[in-house]
Amino acid sequence: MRRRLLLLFTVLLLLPLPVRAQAKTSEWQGVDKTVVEKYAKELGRTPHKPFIDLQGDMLLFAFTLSGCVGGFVMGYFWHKVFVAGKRKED
Amino acid sequence: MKRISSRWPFAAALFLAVLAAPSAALAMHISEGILPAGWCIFWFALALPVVAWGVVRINRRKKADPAYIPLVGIFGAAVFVFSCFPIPVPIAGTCSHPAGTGLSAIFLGPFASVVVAFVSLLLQALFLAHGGLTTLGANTFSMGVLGSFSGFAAFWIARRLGFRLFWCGALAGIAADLMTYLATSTELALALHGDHTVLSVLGQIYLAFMPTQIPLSILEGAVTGGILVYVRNHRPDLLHKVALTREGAK
Repeated sequence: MRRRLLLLFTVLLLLPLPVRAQAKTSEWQGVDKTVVEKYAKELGRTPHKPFIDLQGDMLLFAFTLSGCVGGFVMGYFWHKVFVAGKRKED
Repeated sequence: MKRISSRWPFAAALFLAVLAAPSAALAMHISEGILPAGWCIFWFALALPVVAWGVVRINRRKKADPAYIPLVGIFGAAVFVFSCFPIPVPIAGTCSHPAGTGLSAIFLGPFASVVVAFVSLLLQALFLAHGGLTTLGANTFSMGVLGSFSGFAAFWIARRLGFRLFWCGALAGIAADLMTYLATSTELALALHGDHTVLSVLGQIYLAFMPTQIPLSILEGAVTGGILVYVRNHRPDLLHKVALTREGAK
């Protein structure tokens, strides 16, 4: 029960974070922006556009799709090794 | 045993809850156009022979043991997913991602781990605007070569020193993550130091990474150690097969 309450509390605590991140776009940037590109700019180099320049929701879609495909591949082989493979070993 | 297994759903739910607090975020690799052409060629020249040798090693191990390929599938996909998965670090207010190469180096060997890192970085540069094609050599060297070999070395040394399996994995994950960023900082400092000394620029960049990377490296270490313990509990033969543990190892 205590664990469930702690889990619920953690989830509730984390829920507002994306809203806050959207409101203040300067926060939660990747270290490629906050460190790599910042120092590169200071030292006279600016990044080019990528060869396939996906923008906005298209980039979000590409990330989601790649996560799904990667997750599926990982799950498929995980099942092969740790479920079917374990049965075979037994 | 029952006590341990009852903790897993809680730990997994908590981990997912933390991950489910994302934001508009990018991540860590060196972007297209940041490095001058000479340095791009130099890092390609260093990374590509290791990738080629990794392909040879994968083919040899595949012939010796067909069960090796599913492991390449699991840990190759894991490196791809880990390295395009931005995780917010509240104390720094930024996002970054784990490397995953410490984990893959333990199970696949460091050379094969370089190959899976190269393929992951290539896909990310092509389709996810993450990293870049001209900087692929530099990113492969930092995340693939240095990440894999430092993770594997940390694991090997910790095993020799008699550490428990979890801590060996944790050290491998931490070493792979922190060394990846040390390499990225070095690549940037060497190419862009201008009138400053390389060491001063390297120090500035590496220190700037640290508030984000130290918490993430600890998370990566915990995940790597946890996966090793899971594998030992469910398929100990896999660890014996890759010569990581002997029967009855702790």
